[in-house]
Amino acid sequence: MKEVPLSTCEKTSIVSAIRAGQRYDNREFLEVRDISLNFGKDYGSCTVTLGQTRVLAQVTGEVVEPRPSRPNEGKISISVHLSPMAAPHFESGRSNDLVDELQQILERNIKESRCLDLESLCVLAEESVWQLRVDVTVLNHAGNLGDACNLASVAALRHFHRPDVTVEEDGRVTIHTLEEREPIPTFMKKVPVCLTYAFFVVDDKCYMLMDPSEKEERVSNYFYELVKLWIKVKFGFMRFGWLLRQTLVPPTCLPS
Amino acid sequence: MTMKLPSNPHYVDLNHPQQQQHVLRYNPRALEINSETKMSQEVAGVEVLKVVLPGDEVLQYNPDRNKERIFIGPGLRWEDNVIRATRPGLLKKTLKRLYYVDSHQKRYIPQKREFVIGTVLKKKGDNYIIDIGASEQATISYLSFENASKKTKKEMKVGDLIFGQLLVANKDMEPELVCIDTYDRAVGMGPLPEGGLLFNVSLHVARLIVNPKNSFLLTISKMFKYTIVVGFNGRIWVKAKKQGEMVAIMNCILMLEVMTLEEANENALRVLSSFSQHNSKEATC
Repeated sequence: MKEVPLSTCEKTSIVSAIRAGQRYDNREFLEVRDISLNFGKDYGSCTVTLGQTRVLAQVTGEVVEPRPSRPNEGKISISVHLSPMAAPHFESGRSNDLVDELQQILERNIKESRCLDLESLCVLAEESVWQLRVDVTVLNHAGNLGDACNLASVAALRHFHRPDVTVEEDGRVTIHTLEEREPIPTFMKKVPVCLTYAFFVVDDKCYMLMDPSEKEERVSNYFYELVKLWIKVKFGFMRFGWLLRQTLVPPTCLPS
Repeated sequence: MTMKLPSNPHYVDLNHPQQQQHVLRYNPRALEINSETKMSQEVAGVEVLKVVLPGDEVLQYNPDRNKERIFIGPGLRWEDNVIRATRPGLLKKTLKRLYYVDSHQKRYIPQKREFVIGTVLKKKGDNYIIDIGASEQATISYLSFENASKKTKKEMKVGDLIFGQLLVANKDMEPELVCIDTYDRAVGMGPLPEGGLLFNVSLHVARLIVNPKNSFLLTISKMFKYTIVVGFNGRIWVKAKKQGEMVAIMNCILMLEVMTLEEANENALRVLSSFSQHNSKEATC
């Protein structure tokens, strides 16, 4: 199904409400919706609810051969699935612009930021490493999927515990079950936090809204995703640094 | 266009509760529902009987006995001498012995003679293509407006809103809208004026507020003056003087999705006044 186009009335009413300082759900301009995280029974499963937006992330691990260029580093693979239950215009299977966008955001935040220590995922150099696979499924789309997917995948990665491994002298690798030995948590040096802003340009004035809802997303002129990495210093203080890139991305459906 | 009753008694057409579909013979002795399970009357004339799940047996009937007739509406199916529910929800019965299942639904299924709000998508020959939130897009002819002739055509832009009545709506054909009644009068239909705010609700909320027995809209009008147009496809258009007032009214009606009518009536004024406090704040940049 194609996405239902917005009527002129809806577009102009959102913009004039913002000009009057009002958002549809009575939030402040820089106020985020209620966030709740629910973890599953198994390690590595997390459901994030950001207002009405709901995203589920599941992390699984398996032992594979490492990449020849990096023999003592583990691997992470992230994949995003948009199920049709999230929105009627999503089609599972067909490659979507939105899927590519979300995957790009997650790969940049988690892989390129090197927040996860990949060398700790090594079992036996040049022979076996852990490959962590993050599967993110969008359950309900009510705006701001980037933030929700990021939150879910980071939380799932931090919740994930990998099974303990012993390496014998002759090179045999034994992977213990969760009952035999305590599983080992993953270590994240830096925690990527993603914040999405929507910009509305009206009458030479620019309004900045945080955590846009679905309608605000579709009507806005520009998106801005800011990713901050929180670094934990050994005394326990939290200090943050700006991340590599800040992209200014026009939304996929511009008001026509 | 009149509906022909099907000659095959096993054929049941699921349609709008106000349209009589099928005549059955009903044996009151086989009724499983007793007076203890009856819930209080929601609106005069409609009784809520019980909660049903798909596959639940609702009534037994025997067509050979000459007892009073009953009518079955949406959400029910008659097969092998048993009436079963096909949707989860509340089983309701009107005064005219019409049974139907009221279920939570957001996607609109077009029904004849219903009033809907549509968005103009494009022009195609002599018609406009309109989106009404259903699986098919509806069409409306240039001539289906008041005082329209081949020379004076109604001009509408893409993205305009239109309030019309469904003339043709069945599963085999594209739905067709008109903005005039049988006497060529507009009776409030036509393109909606500029401004205002459009939002979506579940179908039962739209039916609830339109019911003249419910005073919810009157409660809101005590606080603000406003104009409202309700489409049975779940779309509601509100216009008030200030932008903040329109947002407040929208949130008030959206409350009905999660509250009963009584709770909503109590909370309405409180919600509306909390929005008007926000009204006085200035926009930030």
